[in-house]
Amino acid sequence: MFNIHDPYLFEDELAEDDRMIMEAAREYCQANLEPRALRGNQDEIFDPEIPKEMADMGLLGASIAEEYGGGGASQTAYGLIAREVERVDSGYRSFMSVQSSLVMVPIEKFGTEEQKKQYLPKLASAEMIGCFGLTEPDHGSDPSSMVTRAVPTDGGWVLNGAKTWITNSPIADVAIVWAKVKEEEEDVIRGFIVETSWKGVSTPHIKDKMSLRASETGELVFQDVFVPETHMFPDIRGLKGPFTCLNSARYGIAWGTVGAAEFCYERSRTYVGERKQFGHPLAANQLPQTKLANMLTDITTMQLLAWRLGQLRDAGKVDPAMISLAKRHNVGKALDIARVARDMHGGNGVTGDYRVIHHVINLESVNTYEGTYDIHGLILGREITGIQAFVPKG
Amino acid sequence: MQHARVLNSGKIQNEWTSIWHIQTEAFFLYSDMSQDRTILVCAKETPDTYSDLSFSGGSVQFSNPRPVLNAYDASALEEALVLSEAHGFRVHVVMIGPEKASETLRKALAMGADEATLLTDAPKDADSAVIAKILAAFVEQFGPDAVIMGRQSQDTDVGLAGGMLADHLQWPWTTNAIGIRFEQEAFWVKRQGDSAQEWIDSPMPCLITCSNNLNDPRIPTLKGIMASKKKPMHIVAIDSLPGGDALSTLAPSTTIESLTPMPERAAGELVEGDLETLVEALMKGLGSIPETGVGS
Ligand SMILES: Cc1cc2nc3c(=O)[nH]c(=O)nc-3n(C[C@H](O)[C@H](O)[C@H](O)COP(=O)(O)OP(=O)(O)OC[C@H]3O[C@@H](n4cnc5c(N)ncnc54)[C@H](O)[C@@H]3O)c2cc1C
Repeated sequence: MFNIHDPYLFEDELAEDDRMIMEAAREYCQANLEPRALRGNQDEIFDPEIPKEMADMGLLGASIAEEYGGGGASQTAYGLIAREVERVDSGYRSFMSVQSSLVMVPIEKFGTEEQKKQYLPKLASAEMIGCFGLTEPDHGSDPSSMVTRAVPTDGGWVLNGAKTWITNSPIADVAIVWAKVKEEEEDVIRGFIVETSWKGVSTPHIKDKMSLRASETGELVFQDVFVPETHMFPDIRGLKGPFTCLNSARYGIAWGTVGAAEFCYERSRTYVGERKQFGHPLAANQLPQTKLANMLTDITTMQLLAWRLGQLRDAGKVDPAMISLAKRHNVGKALDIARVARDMHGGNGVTGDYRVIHHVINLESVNTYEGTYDIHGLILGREITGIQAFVPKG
Repeated sequence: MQHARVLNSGKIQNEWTSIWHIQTEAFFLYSDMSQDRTILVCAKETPDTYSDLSFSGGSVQFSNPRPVLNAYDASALEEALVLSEAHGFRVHVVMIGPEKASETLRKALAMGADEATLLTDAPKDADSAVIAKILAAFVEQFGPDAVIMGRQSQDTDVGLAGGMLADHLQWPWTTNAIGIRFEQEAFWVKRQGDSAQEWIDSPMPCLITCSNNLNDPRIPTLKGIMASKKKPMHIVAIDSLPGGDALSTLAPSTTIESLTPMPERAAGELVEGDLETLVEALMKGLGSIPETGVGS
């Protein structure tokens, strides 16, 4: 029988653990997150209970080692969780991605044993919330030109600068901050673990966001902040540091957007089946049918890309360009699907109740953050042609 | 055998344990059964009846191809886990199903059950009577202090297996539980009647069938799922149970003759017009109700 949710039956191919984790995450998200999504978005509420609930379910740091409080699950499982969370709201998935991929991953990969012991269990249990500071007001797609800087002082560093568009910053206890330091006359990007309660750190909230409204976004401002030596990542240098984290989060986005697209497709399918115009269900017309056919075809490509990418990550065979390809393709397709779904709902498509416009507007952010659609196109273009086109040659 | 057992008496319990081990040598060994009292939860895997269904060629297909843990049994398991947390019962789950049902059974372990047994190679088209006989053979061999199970399965809604099993075991049976307490070495079962609730004192060993209004079954956590891999799951062919040869060839006493979608409700009639027309139509409608149905 043709499965109209999973046409190529990829869920059958998952390992039993991964499938069980997917089903548990689905049950949690549908029972506990879905009922909060509409109001959360309209009223810009990120329910402070959500981190604790996700932690109790084991959804924070799912693929971090168990000895540090993580779940010890596969990369595929992490992706499947992102799909379930984003089926409800990309904002909730943003919280989960930042905590897991952008904060726990760098501490696990680059941190000292003390740093891992001090922070990972508390991040896994949501006793602490984390954020990730790379983007600056004048340096987005080109983070290598950042101006935030740390200079050496007795026992550590003095940090100055500002980061913006930082998911979770207003509610964060700890921030992973990327800043320049001078090493042998050269500027090198290094990573620091900065607690937001330290003197000189402020985290103003960014007001009036029209997208990802249930996700807290703010700035990170550092004025002569003393960072002890113990809070620098000891060995990682250059953009490899932040890009390792971003690769993990972008991979999660490739999966997450599958969930958002599936939601919009499902809602449209139900809607055109029930809504009658000209005496017949909308679903009886050719245009709605082919729109649904296009959606399902795109969703199938998205599912298979994400699933295969998960396998490659689990096998340790991933190249960052593979992640760029999936992030770019899946977000782009999810956005197309959400926009068509909005249209198929007619006037109801602009109301919160049906929640398709909620996904349209969320996916606009997802298309931009973690490397814009076009920047990932340029990454692929460089791989394909061997010529970088980020810096115009004029 | 069970009735002779005195709880909390190490001596008798040990005696009993050794009998148990002799009996099960050719079968399989449960881990450390002697330590705790055990609740056995009987669980079934069913189609996901919440997914879309379609009928073709006399069979029904569900849009979710993966079976689920019967919701009533999930409630029974949840209650067993709560009792276990408060009173230290071991929770063992038994399921009759094909080998691939082990994934559904693993969900029970992920929720927190200690151990599970999958009874495979059930006779074809097993009905409630067959299921109850197989479960009775298992319970008699296993000797739990209580059996807790769903009052029915969510796909067929038949609801016979529990009662038939209690009858085979000659155990006290309490139906439609919406609350279970364990006090003074007995289960206190709150059951829901039509318009009242009653508390029933059910001495061990006993059988309780549960409503799905009993509780909200927990969702397995990621840690629970990972831990479930390390918990014992025994896969046992039915013909290796005591009396297994007879069990594995039991014939169902009922057969399903046909399976059809629920008949659609006839469309109502929309009456429009002024008050007089409406009243007239109403009177006409009332007139078509049989005398006996109108009441006095
Ligand atoms: C809701 C939200 C949450 C975020 N969370 C975080 C976070 O937690 N941490 C963090 O560090 N950052 C975060 N960001 C920042 C995000 O990563 C950046 O917005 C993104 O990288 C783009 O940078 P920018 O906004 O400065 O846009 P710009 O870099 O100014 O880009 C503007 C446009 O120009 C295009 N463009 C740029 N360069 C080129 C080029 N060379 N050739 C062709 N086109 C080009 C881009 O594709 C884009 O369309 C978040 C952003 C949003 C919206």
